[in-house]
Amino acid sequence: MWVERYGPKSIKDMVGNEETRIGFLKWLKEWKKGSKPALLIGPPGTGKTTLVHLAADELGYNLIELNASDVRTKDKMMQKLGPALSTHSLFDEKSLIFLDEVDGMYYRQDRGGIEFVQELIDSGRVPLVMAANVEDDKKVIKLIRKSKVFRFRRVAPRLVELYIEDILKRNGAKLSKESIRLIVKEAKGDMRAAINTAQSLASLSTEELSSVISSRNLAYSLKESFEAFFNADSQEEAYKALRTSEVPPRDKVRIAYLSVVNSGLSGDTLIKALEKIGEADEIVKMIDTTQEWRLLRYLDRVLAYSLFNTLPKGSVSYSEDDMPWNLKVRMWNEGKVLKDIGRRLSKFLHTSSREAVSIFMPYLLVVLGKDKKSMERFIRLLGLGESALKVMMKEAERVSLKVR
Amino acid sequence: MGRDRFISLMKAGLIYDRSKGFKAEADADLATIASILKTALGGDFEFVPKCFVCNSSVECYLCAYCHICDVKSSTPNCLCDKCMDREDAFAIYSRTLNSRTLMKKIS
Repeated sequence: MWVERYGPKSIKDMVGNEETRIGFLKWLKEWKKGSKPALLIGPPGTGKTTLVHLAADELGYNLIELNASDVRTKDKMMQKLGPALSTHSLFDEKSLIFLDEVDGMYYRQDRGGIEFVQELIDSGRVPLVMAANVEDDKKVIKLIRKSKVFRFRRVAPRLVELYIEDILKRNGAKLSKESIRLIVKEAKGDMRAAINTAQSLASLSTEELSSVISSRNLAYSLKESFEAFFNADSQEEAYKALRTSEVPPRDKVRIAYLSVVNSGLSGDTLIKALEKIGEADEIVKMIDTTQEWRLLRYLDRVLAYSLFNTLPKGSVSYSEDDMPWNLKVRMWNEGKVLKDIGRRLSKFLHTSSREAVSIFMPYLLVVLGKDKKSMERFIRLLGLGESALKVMMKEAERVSLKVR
Repeated sequence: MGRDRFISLMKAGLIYDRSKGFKAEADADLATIASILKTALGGDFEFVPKCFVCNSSVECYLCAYCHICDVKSSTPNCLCDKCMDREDAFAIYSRTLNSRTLMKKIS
């Protein structure tokens, strides 16, 4: 794995979080009995674990590590950490205890483990380092009060790019600038994820690579540009978000439409927004038929200057869901009622509810759908009410249309 | 600015130096600082990262990652276009890191 082979071999080889790294090293260098433990908090792939490993190595500590894959009950922890905690060391060895992913410890599963960590903190006999991904976890909040906290941020994209380029160079592998930028965008500041993606892309043939890149790029730039468009502070910013993206025009209109219909906008605003999308769609249609690509310049302007203005800020977010949420809810509710009818019907017909719905229901709908009163009697016979009647009448209408 | 806002800014990790003005610590809570300053100044403002190598301002709006990079939640150091385009960019970054920070403060 490239992560292991090309990962940093010394603290100075790491990228990002420079001041935090320095602060942590200083803490470890100046550690003395009774010092507060260190708590490293930050998103995955920002270098917390790597830093602890390299620091222990560079400062001559024997690292004793317990991570989320270990059983972290009090007994197991005592077993593993006991020798390090004893007052006398046979070889005068310096030990550093590292509890990775402390936010992943649970009271029930890791019986006594959390209490043991508290005892470790209070004893202050050996340097103790803990790492967590989030800081709004109850356990972590408690630890923050008792620890020296080092916060890690996501690594800036340009630094990730720099690092990936260096790894590729060291490995003698080549990827286009476009591929590297895609890796960086997808990694979102997670260096480990970036290295893994780089490794998998570097193993592809040129053809495979170009197909992967184009499909991933399209999906990514669609989301990226529309999120920027919907969250823009001004028309100019909204225009820039669409103009800089290389998304096909039809996809721009499609995403604008799907995002708007899935946003839950109120009546008037929704109508106005759909009208503007309609105007944009007209332009795309015109380009398709006349092949006059110079019209393309108006598409982004229509979306940015007219659609953007109809949308209250923050009211729409990117969506590729091809079915509006209210329609989904309706289908779900109606499905529930139909299931109930099928279950009750199955008792009369001595069959399974699935068979009752799939085999017998269509006939009942054709026969009873012609007369609402007969349908009402049937529904009452099943012990159901108005909502079931509504659903059945609607289904009857649908079936009659199909029969015709 | 007011006393309360000033205290909140300090708690969020801002340092005040009479001669140099405000400076954010590495682990400063930039999102909180931004929201306090936005109210205090009555308008939007942006954090401009500095190039770690040459210390010039990084022009985010020209960057290929401007849509995905949130300066408030990323590491504060970045590289400018000029330094990024250098053949030995990574080596220069490491050297700068070593000479400017690690070597001075740790050893």
